[in-house]
Amino acid sequence: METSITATCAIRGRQIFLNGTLLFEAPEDTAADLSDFLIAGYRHFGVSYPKFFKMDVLSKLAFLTAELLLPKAGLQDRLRPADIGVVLTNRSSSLLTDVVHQQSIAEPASHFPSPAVFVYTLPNIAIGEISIRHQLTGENSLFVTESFEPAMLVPYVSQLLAEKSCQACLCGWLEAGLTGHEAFFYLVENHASPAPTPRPHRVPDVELLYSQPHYS
Amino acid sequence: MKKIFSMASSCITPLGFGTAATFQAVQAGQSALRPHWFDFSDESFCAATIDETPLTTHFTALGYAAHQYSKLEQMSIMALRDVQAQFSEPLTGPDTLLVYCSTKGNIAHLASGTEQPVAPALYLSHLARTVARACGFAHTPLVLSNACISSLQGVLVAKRLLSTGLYRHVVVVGADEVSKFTLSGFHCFNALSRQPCLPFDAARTGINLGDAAVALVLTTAPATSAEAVEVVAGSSTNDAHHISAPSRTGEGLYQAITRTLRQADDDTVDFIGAHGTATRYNDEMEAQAFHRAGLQEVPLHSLKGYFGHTLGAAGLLEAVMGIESMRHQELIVSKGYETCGTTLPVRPVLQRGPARLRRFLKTSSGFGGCNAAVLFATTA
Repeated sequence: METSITATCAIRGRQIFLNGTLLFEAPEDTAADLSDFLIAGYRHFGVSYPKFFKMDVLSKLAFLTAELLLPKAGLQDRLRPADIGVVLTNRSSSLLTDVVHQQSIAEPASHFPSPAVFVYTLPNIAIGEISIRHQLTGENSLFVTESFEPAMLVPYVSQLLAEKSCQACLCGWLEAGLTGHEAFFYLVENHASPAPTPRPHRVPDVELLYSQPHYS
Repeated sequence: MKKIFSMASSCITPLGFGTAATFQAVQAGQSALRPHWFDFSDESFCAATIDETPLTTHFTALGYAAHQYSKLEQMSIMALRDVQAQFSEPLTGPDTLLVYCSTKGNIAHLASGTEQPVAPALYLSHLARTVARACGFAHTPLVLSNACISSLQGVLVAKRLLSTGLYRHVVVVGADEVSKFTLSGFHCFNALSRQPCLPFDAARTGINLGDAAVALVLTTAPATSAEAVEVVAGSSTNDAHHISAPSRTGEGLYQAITRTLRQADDDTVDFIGAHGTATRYNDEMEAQAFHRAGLQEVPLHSLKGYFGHTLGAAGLLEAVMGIESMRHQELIVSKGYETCGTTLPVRPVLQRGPARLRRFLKTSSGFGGCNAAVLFATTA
């Protein structure tokens, strides 16, 4: 069956792109801290979802990327929530929050772990946050890879769609680690979609979409 | 659709090194849960841990230098070497993929403070590569980290990858260890039980944690022995409800179960391997889901009373024990259960005994709202 990529959204450095077009660039002074930058993006796009502020940075990054991608794609008008899968890949798992939890338990004399932190010490919580927001109840997986690897992701998602475990899938790369952050999400759909320029769901196409636009 | 068979397994647990030893201990009614003291509390908490001395002795006998590998790596390598020795074909060729499933990997080695460099072994892909290299796998392993459904989801992922024809064999590993990191987290959630946990029981007060590494070989090679078990169907879902609390109606798990049974030609289930963590909310949610799926009369067990909750390893450990239960045609007692503790009653197994067991449904649920169900069946 023909499957196609119908939309993309990327957050890189202090820039946010939708379908390859730069939509938002934070001033340098707000971009030093990833959480501050994501909050600036959230405000810029007029998103209203108070739970956003409770999320750790990995979930904030995932949430904002999905928030810009999914409603515009109009997927939920065409498909049931159970038919939309989420498959994300990441390098550092939940390391940034792991470090915060570790600091709260390192010294027996100052042992104050918080449930609100601990729950984010799993990378798939970010998928949970996206699922709650958009009511996605289908197949969901988080793979850990060294870097974004379309050669691994594309065949797996193709199989999910071929066996009809889902009709569409939110896929991509979701990384927030000690050396930087990057989100690149794309939508893959089984049916011919109304997107003006759908791309075939193949490894070279995903690689091309991922590499464009170049960092400014 | 290609048929997928499970052909060899190994469980490295406090109850035994190997599937046979572990199953035998379970059927003898042994539990690995013991009181342990941790520096964050004056009280003891039960946990099921593997003693390092016998582990290292066994590991060293395989020809490795123990100081070069973490405890979790040693456990994982032992499980893999065991299945490699059992399986009739080599698992080190380009037709074989390793799928490594863990929630926290080597997290016990996380040093405090952001200024310190993080050891490479803390990255899950580094851990998986270390294990894969030690066992001679040809490909870079695929790593899955999906909370407490990780390794049951790993079986589903393996089934899909085998269906693509890209691989002939996929070895799934589930591995996690008890650490202060996870213990203190569950403690602050008020989810830890001081006593051995009591899944589905009225007196249950929470979970215990445990160590385990489990390996299972899945293959599209034709089943050569009557002991082969088919991975018939499976599904995963998300509750889309709450990141840490299970759905009150069991909706996500119910959907995973019904989608799994719909995929199968025959929706008969002879017994259920429940998640059964022994928290109030989890067991209640599962009872709701089993009732909604019409499975309330099916015998079920939770194995947390033997092994504690082994997090990312739990789904695969419990799947392998369920497969052994079918092979031996013998039910496993749901240890710790006496009095019904869920609003809707379920049927935890009270007595070990022979039974005709051909089809086994394994379910798991986890943080992030994820659920998975997999149906296994004997081929004989």
